[in-house]
Amino acid sequence: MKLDIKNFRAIKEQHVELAPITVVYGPNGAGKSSLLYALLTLKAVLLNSNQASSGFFNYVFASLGAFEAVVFDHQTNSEIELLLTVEKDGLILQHGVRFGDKQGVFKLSASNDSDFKFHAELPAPFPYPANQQNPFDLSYQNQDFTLTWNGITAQVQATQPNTTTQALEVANLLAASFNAPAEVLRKVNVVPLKRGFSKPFYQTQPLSSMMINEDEVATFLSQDKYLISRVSHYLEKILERDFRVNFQPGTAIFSLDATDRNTGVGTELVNEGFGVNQMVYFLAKALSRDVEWTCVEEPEIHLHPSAVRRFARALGDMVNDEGKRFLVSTHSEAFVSALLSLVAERKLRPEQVAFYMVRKEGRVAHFERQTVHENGQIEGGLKTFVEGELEDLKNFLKVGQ
Amino acid sequence: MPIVLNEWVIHDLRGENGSLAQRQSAEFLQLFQRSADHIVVLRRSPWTTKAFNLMTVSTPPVRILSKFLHLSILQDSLKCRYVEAEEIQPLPWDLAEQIPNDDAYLFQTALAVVAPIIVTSDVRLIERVATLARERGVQMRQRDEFLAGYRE
Repeated sequence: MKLDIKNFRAIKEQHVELAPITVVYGPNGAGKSSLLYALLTLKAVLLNSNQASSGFFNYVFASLGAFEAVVFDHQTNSEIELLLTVEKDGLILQHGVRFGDKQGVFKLSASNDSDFKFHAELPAPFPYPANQQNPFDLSYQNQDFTLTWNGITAQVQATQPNTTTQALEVANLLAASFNAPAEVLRKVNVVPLKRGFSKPFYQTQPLSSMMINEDEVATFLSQDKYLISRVSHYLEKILERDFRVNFQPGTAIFSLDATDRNTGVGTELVNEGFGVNQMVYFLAKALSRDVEWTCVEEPEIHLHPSAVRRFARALGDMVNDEGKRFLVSTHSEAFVSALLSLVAERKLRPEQVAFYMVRKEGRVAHFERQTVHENGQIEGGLKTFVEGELEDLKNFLKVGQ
Repeated sequence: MPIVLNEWVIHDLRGENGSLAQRQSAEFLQLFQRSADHIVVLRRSPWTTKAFNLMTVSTPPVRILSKFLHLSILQDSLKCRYVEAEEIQPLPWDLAEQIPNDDAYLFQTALAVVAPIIVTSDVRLIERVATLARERGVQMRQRDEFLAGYRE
């Protein structure tokens, strides 16, 4: 999966290939979060286009402001472009949008190893109710089809009046493929920096699609006993706690509780350490069956380095065993080292992880991908994590003076 | 340029050879990290054991140096070439006769790569085997002289 980003916050132009675990790291303010926000913005534009452009930058946990605040260098005459590329059934599909404050152009393209190429664009004002059904001709495997597209979803029908079963199957396959990028986006969710549970008791609440606030996440957890057991399984791996939801008899009131496996002492999450508390929030969202990609900022916060290491290993298990995918920003060398250690142990393949060192040069964020080797080494090393301490070394040893 | 460092560098970084040696090795590592050179390390060797033990030291200067060694050099595929046990060969008899058992792995490591330099603090070892080593494409350099002349 690939993401192409233009003119989004500090990103002037960037191509990012996403592996099952994609990690961005680098100094504060380098532009790491912009990658996560770009994916969330694209999801908002493609799946919730009937709003003003400022709505695309409101992720509930954070609202970045209007177009002017988000476009690169605040150049309101520029357009933001976000394109997602996925592969499905031998086709490379790209779906995205180029947009300004008031309007944009939806873009859809497809190609394969042979000579098949398709490209469509559809102008749309924002808010856009997705009510334009535009037909496009396409030829695939020597058959003619009509793709009907509103900028968001695509339908494909064989052009010939007497459609064969084979043509029908190809049309269905093409429709599934053209909709694949949007389907990926549908399964993108986010675990924001502000996370966790702050109350001992909860009541069932209506759920929104992104499930950001704690009442929603608590409600979602309480309604899925299989999710509860998955959360408990991983919480034990990472923090040696099991997790339960306990309803008060005869009421819709429930508590989220954790039990220390070593002492047997149980308590509500709000009375646990915040590391445990926020980990349940993370796991609830990441393990949800409706979520494939979880964007998470600094999962290491409030975790001891040994727990960070176990967390990284749990992510590896979630990728291999649950088919989950993660886009992570971090400041933790322990987290990065633990993932590289999994590669050295052959528990993750090098291509299952992507590391991007993010640096800002002037106003522009640059994402530099570092090649990971089978032995767990990484091209360019991880020197950014020790740069600050080398300054202290000058004081300790009078080095470089 | 592939460089095989003897264990002096670990002892230096730990501060066991005094503060001057610690500073010299710290400066060398930072120059080395910016250079086009790389070190060659035999996996599961006394060198890697000492490097691992270095990382258990928690006092600030040693901790910073071990972290730098780990994150910026040993973890970097451009700065550190690991040699596996299967890649090394027994030493030729003439070298084996002259080299103490404890140092044999350094020469075996060097002989697994092309045109390496072994940097050692053992002057007598250099006197005994420099010629034999050179015949096999291995240069030997004395630590102090090497560090004094090292440029990135």
